[in-house]
Amino acid sequence: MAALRDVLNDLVKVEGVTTAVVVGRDGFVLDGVSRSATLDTEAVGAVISTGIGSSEVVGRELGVGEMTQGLLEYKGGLIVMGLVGRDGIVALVADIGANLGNVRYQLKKRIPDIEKVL
Amino acid sequence: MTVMRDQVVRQLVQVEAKANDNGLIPAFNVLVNQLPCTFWNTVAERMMAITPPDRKTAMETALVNCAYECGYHTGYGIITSPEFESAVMPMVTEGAKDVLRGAYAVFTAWGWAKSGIVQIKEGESMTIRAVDYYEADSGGEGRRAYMIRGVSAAFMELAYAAPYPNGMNTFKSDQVRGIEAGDQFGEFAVSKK
Repeated sequence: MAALRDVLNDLVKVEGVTTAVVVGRDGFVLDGVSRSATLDTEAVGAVISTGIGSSEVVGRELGVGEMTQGLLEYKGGLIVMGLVGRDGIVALVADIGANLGNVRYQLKKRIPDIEKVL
Repeated sequence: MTVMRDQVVRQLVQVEAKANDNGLIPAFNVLVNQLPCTFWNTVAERMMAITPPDRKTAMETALVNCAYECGYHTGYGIITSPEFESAVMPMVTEGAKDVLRGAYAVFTAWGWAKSGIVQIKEGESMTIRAVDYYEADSGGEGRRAYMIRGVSAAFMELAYAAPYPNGMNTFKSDQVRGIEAGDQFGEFAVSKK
């Protein structure tokens, strides 16, 4: 069975993806890999966990069910988030020019692997 | 919303750690002290070193139990303290699970172990990961994070066993990985006895 670090290393090999982090709901970074010199995976963990809580509330309030994946687009990049079981979040930070469809697909494909190794 | 450990840590590191006339620091409903990590590691190292090979497992159990007893009573003091009430409880939305998240945030803020919950089956089992802890620097053989191991079982008791002080001896904790043993992080599996 691949270790969590192996799965994250595979994710940052996806074209355009610079950082892959798995965090607990409370922001505890279980593991993270970053190709970016400026991104601290600890900091990513803290902000992702805060942000995803708000997104889930939006889904509930609008009656569109449980969140499966989240996407944030900024001028300088993309953040794609997915839920790992009830207690984990995986977040990818990607360049703005990354192929969004592929990033989402790769994340979705890898979530069962992450669930297995947690 | 759940307990955001980053917020908890930021608040708690601002708590003044000032000793009283007896050299103890009153905080979180308990009295703590500030001693070098090497002191605690040396205690455990020497205890293990003087123990004959056939009694090492028993000594290891005793060291874990010291942390367990301390963690149970100190942990109760912490989670019922005004500081915890103010820094953590407003973020608690998932009951005992969130209290545990808060407890590990305190654990981190105090510098005992940068640790948190990987997985939890409420009332059944829990996996804890520690990416930095003082016992990782200890000398000796094998996995030897006795403190986190014992305290993790104690926290689980406080969260899911009978109400304090009657909730001991329901859970046990095993160390499955250790930085001191060459692993990337420490990992602890808490389960029912």
